[in-house]
Amino acid sequence: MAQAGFIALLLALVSSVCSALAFGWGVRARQSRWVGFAQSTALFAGAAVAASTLILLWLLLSRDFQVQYVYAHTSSTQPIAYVVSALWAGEEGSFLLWLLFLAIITAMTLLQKPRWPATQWSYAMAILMSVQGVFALILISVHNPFVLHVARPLEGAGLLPALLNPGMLIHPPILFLGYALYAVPFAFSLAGLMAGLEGSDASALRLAMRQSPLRQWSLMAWLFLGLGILIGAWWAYVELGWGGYWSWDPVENASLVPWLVGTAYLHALLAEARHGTFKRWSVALAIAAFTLCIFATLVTRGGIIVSPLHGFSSSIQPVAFYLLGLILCSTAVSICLLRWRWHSLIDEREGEHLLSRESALLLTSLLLIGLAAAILLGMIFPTLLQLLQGVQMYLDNAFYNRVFGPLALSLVFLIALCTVLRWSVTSPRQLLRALRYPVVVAVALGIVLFVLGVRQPHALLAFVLIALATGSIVAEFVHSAWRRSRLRHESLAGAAWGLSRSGRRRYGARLVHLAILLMGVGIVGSAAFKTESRLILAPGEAGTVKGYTLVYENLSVLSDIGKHRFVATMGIYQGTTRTGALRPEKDLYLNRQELSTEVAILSTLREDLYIALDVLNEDDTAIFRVSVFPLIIWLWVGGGLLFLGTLVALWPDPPR
Amino acid sequence: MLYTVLRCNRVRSQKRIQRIEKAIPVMTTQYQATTHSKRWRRLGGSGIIVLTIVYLVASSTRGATVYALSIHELKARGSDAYGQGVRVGGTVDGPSIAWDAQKQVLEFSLVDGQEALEVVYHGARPDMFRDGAQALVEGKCQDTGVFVASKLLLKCPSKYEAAATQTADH
Repeated sequence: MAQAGFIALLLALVSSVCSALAFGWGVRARQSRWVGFAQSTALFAGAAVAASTLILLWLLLSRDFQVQYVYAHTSSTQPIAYVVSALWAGEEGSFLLWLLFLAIITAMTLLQKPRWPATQWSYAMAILMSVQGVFALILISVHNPFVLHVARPLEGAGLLPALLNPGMLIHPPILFLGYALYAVPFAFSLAGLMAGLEGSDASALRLAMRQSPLRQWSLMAWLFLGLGILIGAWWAYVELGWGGYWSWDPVENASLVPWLVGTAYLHALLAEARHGTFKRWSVALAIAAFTLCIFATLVTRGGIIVSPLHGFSSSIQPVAFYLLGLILCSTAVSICLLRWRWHSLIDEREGEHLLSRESALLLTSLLLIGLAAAILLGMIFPTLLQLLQGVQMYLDNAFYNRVFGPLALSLVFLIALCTVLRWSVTSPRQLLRALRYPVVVAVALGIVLFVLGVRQPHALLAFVLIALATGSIVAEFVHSAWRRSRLRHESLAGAAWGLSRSGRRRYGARLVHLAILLMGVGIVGSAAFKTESRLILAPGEAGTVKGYTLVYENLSVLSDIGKHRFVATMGIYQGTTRTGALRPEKDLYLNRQELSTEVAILSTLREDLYIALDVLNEDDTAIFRVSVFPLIIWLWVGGGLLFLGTLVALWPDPPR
Repeated sequence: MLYTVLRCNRVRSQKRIQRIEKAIPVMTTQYQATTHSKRWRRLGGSGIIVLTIVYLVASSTRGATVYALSIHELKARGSDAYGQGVRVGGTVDGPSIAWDAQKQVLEFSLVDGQEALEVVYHGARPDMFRDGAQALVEGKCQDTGVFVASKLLLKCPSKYEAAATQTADH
């Protein structure tokens, strides 16, 4: 069975390479026969990848421990959902998942053929198939998931306790899907440049660059990458000891950087589609986003950057050379093509005014790229320094917080501006008029917060700016609805409904901005006002933390499949009434003889009460780590709204 | 009646087109005259923003750097290393572990080859902390030669590196 999986991978490699060559040759020589052949080979490659994934899944489900990968990531006591998730728990499996997503996406773009200019489409398919080929090559040469043990072990090692969390089921696949989806904007942007070379003039290029499928693909990529990051943050938050929801670890940063660049790309794409500007930006950013996704894989899997959290050895894995080769190759090709087509990528309109949406978008892109570059620099700083000076030195979290704060706040301010600025030109008076109510609301909120006792200047400023941006989005919507109701003699509610139906893309985007602001509330609240204390209690004793009286009622020991659970019951009292209970626990995993701490969280709209059973002594006395994270729930609510808003913006228009 | 309205409309729109067409050459010349300076203005504006970001990044690195040293290198630095942010890695020496659960003080030796370093860590004992564990400590070396760690990171052998560690923040 395992051999069949390997053969399927081999077939995938051969057919990907054949297909890429045939696509390239077919379009250069204008031979549709070759393109047809390439198309069927591409489908065959996709089928081969799917087959090898299914075979690995089958091996996992049948717990064939003779396969090294199955042995390392499953055990017979493991719940079935986590056996499935073992598919992406290891390096081999996660590369296979990457390849599978690439194959599915390629198959989808194959079906989209009529919606693209033929030349651009063929070049893009050639690029996608080459990327697939590289991943198939990695799987075959250095990360073969189908390697066998000499003998068949009786029991597998199983997943790490920390991985037995619902986060494991969804975080890696969604993140990989985001990475793989960025291949499409990358391939079609490069292909647009190549197709432009074939065409007689800039108009062919313009046609190639102005495609609505590109917007949908890049929005989807952005959505999945963002959700993947957010789910990872949630996982780190509920799994104790991973340092809260964000710890600026290289592995986390690696996924944030392409997302930030992808955000800048979306904005450039918007300006390009609406106004014919930012052409060079959007091409360069599409290429950068995907290259950074590959870089993220290189960071997590290649051992090229020493992560303090995720590994100590600086030994470079062989896979690093393949990925580095892919990055260098695509960067070199992209730079050459961009240079070649630089003067054809002219903005259709110039004459932009300082106070216009274009310049605000330019500023937004610059800030996003600056932020991404700063984080990237922080990541590669140790490696760079070691190469240049031979000293090993790191940047700690203080660096990231200092850089992130001001840039993120400027971006929030820009949301407020961008919403009310018009294309081409806005007079200062118009701007002030549109912003007067939001400013009043924001300043009032600032005063109220100050009176209520919020004295940290950073947090105060952040809340005021968030209120300003939220206010400007709401004010713009209300104003437009009011104008529409006057013009069309509709009721205000009817006008609002009609407005959001007719401008679904715009208001979907507004919803996404509101979601980002909501997440900002969660981030500022939990970062600025988090408290943490320790309670050392014997059973029956009580302690008080921030208005919560916590009583350590009892400790029970439960035997579960494969583990013993030590569950402490903490009664929560407000005054003398018991309002609830939290049950933090320590689990002993028998096969690994390892302890794992499971936190218990009480979430309200105001704050999260977070209890971890840090230490459990022989006499049942226990040390609890009790934290209060104000407003953090809005980070997750914002994530939900982000998903919703993006769906609204993505939903296809009804056929006319 | 309807015909007249339509006709009027057409005449009006034709007039509008003529008006726009007349204006186009003016617009183009204006455009050509301004485009150069606008381009420079835009480049200048972007340049200022980029420089601001670069300054922000550069100034943020100050005081945020941590040296990564081996135990041997740390000892070789002697008194120079006192009070400086340092990160050191090694293996936890089992017999040396002394854990005071009441005060939450963890004392142990970190071994790297021949050299050993005494470490004091205030905080909870991580779940995976045991003899032979790979540990990374971040903190400062005191003049007594004892390393006071503010961060203790552990690694356990696994392929899924993203999950292979547990950290405990002070």
